[in-house]
Parts: sequence; structure tokens; C-alpha cells
Amino acid sequence: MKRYAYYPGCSLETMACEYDASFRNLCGRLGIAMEEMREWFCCGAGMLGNLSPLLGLATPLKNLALAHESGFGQVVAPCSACYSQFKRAGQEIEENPELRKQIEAVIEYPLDHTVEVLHPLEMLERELDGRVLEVEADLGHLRVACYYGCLLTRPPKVVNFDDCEDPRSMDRLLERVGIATVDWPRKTFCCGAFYAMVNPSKVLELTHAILTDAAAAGANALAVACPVCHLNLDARQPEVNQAYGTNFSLPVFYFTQLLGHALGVPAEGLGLWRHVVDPQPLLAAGGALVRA
Amino acid sequence: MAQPVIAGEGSLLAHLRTVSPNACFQCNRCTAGCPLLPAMDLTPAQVVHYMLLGDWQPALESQSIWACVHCETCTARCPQEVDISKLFNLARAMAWRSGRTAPDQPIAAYFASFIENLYIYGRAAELPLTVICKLKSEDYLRDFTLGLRLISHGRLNFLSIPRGAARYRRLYEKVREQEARTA
Repeated sequence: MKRYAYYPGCSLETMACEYDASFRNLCGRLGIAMEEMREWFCCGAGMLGNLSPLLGLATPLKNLALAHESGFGQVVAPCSACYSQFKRAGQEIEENPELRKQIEAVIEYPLDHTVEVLHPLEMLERELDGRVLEVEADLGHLRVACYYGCLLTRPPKVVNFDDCEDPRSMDRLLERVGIATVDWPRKTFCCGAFYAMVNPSKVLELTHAILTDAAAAGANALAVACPVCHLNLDARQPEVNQAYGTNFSLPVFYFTQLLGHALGVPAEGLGLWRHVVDPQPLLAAGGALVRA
Repeated sequence: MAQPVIAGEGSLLAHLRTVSPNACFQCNRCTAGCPLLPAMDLTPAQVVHYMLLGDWQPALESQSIWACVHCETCTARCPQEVDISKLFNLARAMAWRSGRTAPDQPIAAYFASFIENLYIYGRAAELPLTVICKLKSEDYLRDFTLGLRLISHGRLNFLSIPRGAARYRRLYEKVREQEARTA
């Protein structure tokens, strides 16, 4: 069986612990071996490049080297920021031999290896290709707007993930377990990301637009694949309502929670109670388990 | 292309050789798609144009380079394949290193807090990070209710244990040595 190195990333230990739990439990359910890397550290999240571009690249590459050292050929990174850092850094050393030499010196590891970096969406599409899935919960009443955000899909030359203006991989996975998704225009618009730390009103403007479009497309929930998207869309939803006089109550799921729920991961393994907009009434509305 | 000369910039200059604004023909597609445009003083196309002219000063002093969150929309859509997002990143690194005060203080405080936090913990510890950032920016009340909301849903750890810090610090020191050599 194929072994994947799992790089959870910092957010999945705190703010997005339900993403972590639901992903691990989903993999367990599907029999996919996901082994957390030992001694991983932060990928830098793009912040270190402000101090030193060299440090900004060496940090993700050192983590990939740790995975390679432990015998892994593939690393799965569920946070879009980590995923993008790994991909960007990998591309930089391909294009710039001088930089590559400098980085090899500081990470104390040769960069002649290739470690493939995968987002769970890519990994799951591969693993589930041609497999018959046993759906255990009927979620046919959901209309989900899949929100891909920025760093997962862009820039296409670097991440090479799906279609950068109209990605469909999350939609396809959800549709396979009987969840309807909606076609909508803001799949890859930015949510404002960490700018919320500085100027929340700018971010509320962006998240308000995302929520409005999702609702207008007939969605009764959103699905995301990034901790920062989740924070801005779920935890800041009350602020959006306050600032714009709206009345949104759109649950924001990690796509792993929806897949997990449909495929029979027990509710306590999905961390649904951690969301600010409680998604449990919506899930319960469909109610009946297909297989008791 | 005239570039600002900054001491200890060996690694920065290596980057600059691989990224160039020169192919820009001012179609303004980057500006049209930028979600943070309302928070900027110069448009992305203007920033790139200053760089193309070799006049980095206005770019380095702009609010724009600090407002960019690197959503990569501009880079993805540029028909001339200019990596605008990376140019912004480099401009910020230059501005930072040359000791310019960011016009946008809170974002600079956030970056600095993140970097200091990482040196202590090795992994981003969100609660201490928030506290450091609040102290630096002297802004204690913003997002207070958001914090409470996260805490009540069990999404902030009160106990942050440094893990991976030793490896990160070793790497950090190695980078410092390397940069001293290539300066």
C-alpha cells in the first residue's frame, strides 16, 4: 500500500483542528495510510520571505527534505498556504541553480530528489478513481458552493492544480457521495486572507460578496479546503451580518467533513461543533441514514 | 534595470535575476483582478511600471506592497507572464531590510510577530501570535469577540508547546551565515 507523509501545518493543530480530525478519520475510513511527519515545523506561510527570501524558500524545502529522509515520495498538505509554499519553493530551485546551491547548503540536504506535494483533493481523486464508494448518509438535500480560494489554484504554472479559473475537483468528489454542488462565480476569488488581522472591514467586504453570491446561486452551505478561508467565512460571518445588515447563516464545511459524514465517519470524528455557524441542524434536516 | 543596493542582499539579488517586470505592457489586467485594490495607493500595474523604469523608490514607499496578500490572481492572469506577486514580495523584503517604516504599520507588526513567534515555537502558535501582535500594534480590542468565539468553540490552544523549534532555529542561523557570506 502507498504511504503518504502527512504535513498537517500549524493551523490544523489549533484553529482548524476539525479539518485535521475529519481528514485523518476520512483516510482511516477509506484505508489510506497517512503518516504524520515527525519533527515537521512551520512552512513559513509566506511571511518569512519578508525577512529573507532565502529563509522563505529554505523553510518549506527543509520540511520536504525531512519527508524524503524518512523515505517518503509524497507529502500531503491540506492547508492551501503550506501547499503553495512547497510548490513555489520547488519551482524556484528548478529555475535557479545558484539559489538551489545556497539552499542545499543551509538545509544540509541535497535537492536532487523529488518529493511530490499533493493537496488532499488531488490525493483523494487519485485514490478514489474507479473505486465504488459506500454512501452511508443521504446528503441529497445539500446544495453546496465549493470555494477553492487562492493558493490552491494559483498560479497555475506553479501549482498545476485543476483549472485555475473554474476548478471542479471538490465538486466532483462531493457529487460522488450524492451531494449536489452549485455553479457560481466566486469559486476562486480571494477572501482577504490574513489582511483580516489588519483591516477587518476590507475582508468583510470580500467575504460578504462571497456569501452573497453563494446564496444567490442557491447554495445552503459552503465547502472549503483551507483554514484561512474557513476562518474568514465561518467565524467572521456574524461580523458580516452586523456590518451589512444581512442575515446569513450559511454553514461552512471542510470538504473532508462532508465526505466523512457521507461515508460513515462517526459525528464525533468530524468536529462539527467547533464551527461558529452551527452546521448540525442542516445535516440533521436530511436526517435518515441510508444504512442504519 | 537599476536596482536598489542594499547590504547583505546576496539572496535577494539572486531572486531578482529570475523575476523581471520588463515584459509588462500595461494592460492593467493585474489591477482589474486585484481584490485588495481598495486598500492600495498605487495600482499593481503602477507598481510594476515603476519597477520597469528602474525607479523602485515609489514602489518601496507605497502602501500597496504591504496590502498585497499574495492571492496570485495577478500572476495567474498576466498575459506577459510577469510574476507580479513575487515582485511585490521582493519589494516588501527590500523595504523591510532597508529599514523603511511601512505606511501600513499593523501589517508590518503582524509579519514581525509571526516571524518572532516562529523562532520561539517552530510552529505558528496562534494565541501567543495574536498576543504579540496586539502588543506590537497597540490595538487590543479589535477582533476581541472573534477571539472569544474561537475559544468557546475550542479552536485556540492555551498551551503552546514549542515543537520543531530546534530544527527551525538551526535553519535560521544557517541562513544568517549564508547571507553574511553572499553579502
